Amino acid sequence: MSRRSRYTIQGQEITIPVEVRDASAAMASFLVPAPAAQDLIGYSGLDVAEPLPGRAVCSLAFMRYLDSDLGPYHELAVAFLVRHRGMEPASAVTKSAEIARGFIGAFIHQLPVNQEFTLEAGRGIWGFPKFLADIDIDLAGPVARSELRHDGEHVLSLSVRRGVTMPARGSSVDAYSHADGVLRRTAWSMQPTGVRGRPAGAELTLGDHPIAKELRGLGLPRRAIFTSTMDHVRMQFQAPDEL
Amino acid sequence: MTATPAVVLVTGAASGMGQLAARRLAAAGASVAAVDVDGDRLAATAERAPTMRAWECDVTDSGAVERLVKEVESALGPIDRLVHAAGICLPGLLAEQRLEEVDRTIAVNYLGTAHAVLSVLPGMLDRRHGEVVAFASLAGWLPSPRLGAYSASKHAVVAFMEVLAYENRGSGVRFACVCPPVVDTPMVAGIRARDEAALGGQRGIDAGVVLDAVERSLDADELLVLPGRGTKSVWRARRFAPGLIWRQIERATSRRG
Repeated sequence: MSRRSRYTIQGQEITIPVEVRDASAAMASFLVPAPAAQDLIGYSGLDVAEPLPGRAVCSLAFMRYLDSDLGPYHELAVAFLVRHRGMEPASAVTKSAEIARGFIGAFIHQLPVNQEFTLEAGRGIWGFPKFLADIDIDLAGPVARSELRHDGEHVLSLSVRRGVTMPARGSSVDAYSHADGVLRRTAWSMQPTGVRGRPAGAELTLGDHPIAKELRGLGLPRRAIFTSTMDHVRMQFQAPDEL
Repeated sequence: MTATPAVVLVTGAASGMGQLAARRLAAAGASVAAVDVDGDRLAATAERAPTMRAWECDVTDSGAVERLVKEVESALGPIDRLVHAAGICLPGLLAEQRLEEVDRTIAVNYLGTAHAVLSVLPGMLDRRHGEVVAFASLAGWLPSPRLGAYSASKHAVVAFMEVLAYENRGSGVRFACVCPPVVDTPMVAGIRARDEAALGGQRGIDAGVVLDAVERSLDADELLVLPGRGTKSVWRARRFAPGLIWRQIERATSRRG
């Protein structure tokens, strides 16, 4: 099946790949009980990856897009590491090895944004679960902070303490999304600079919003296994494959 | 976390520091009036940014700036923050600089600042609320060889902002006078292209670092913003040991050959 190479969003033509020329980001990853994570994303038909037996990885990331084909905006992602669609059932040991070998994808479960254009493009092109929310992001200083509010209700606050300088390697990930009964896979590549990381280093506060309740159902807040920040990152998103 | 200002006017928004400031504020959801004399590049900055609107305006024209502020306020509401980043730099030895280049530098950098700041200020003072951010330069403290006209114009901006902040202390309006060293922007690329020796081997700092420092200074209500490692030390040395600074400049210049 050939992929589309252009889309029209709000009367403007978007060409594939969609380019992000400059963004900044902070991310915190948490080990959560795999059965609870699997229940939460079961609607996608995907299986959570398990780096440790019975444990899945839930990541919260906040991004400030400055120069991109979708305009400037803030975004907050709730994502899970997943096994690729079609992978055979595997033992716990094999599942751990899959992660070590990078045989995994990221399922985007929630993706609030604060601007209309990216909302429409994200939903229309990739079926990303974008919805409009208020997202404050402060990336100055040694602690990166974000606060998410939806319908006037506090969802979560996340702060990420900057770690030590790490090698800035480019990477490619398959991002999965599920909308209107269709699972999609999108090739997503990124080239970061100014990468810092460390174990732990996150502080998460949850409100009473349904998304906060979902996260609480995963045993959050708890200590993060790993946190990272990127001063600058370039990204490219290809057109999705419908699975 | 600092509250995002609701309505912001950014000059020099088509490139460099102004463009980054406009994008950051628009990303955060502020209504941004993006202003520049270069309409085409301005349109590219405002593209796909639902909360940004572009206005073409030459800041050297005082009447045009006054009209612009009225227009922006009637379209978007009272301006909560001005980020005045419009500026030019035409490097060269003063003895060889054309008079019209000196005129132009003063007109854009100093008069442009006065026009923009004094046009938004009365409304802010009435409301007892607002933030005025003006870009000077470390060259506004440190007389810089081959950047004489620019340096003089930025000295004027520093003096203007210092007096302005003093006269309006306790007014509810906050002032930030930004004095960065060399910043990685198209302006600096332009200076290097025109006069390689003007900046020597200085590498530019990240424009994002400058804007982070602006936010911190506004929070702390501190006038002078001196971003980048060592910038504060250079500023102190200039104040307290000007002879030492000139000796260093001389050494650096002779190294440049």
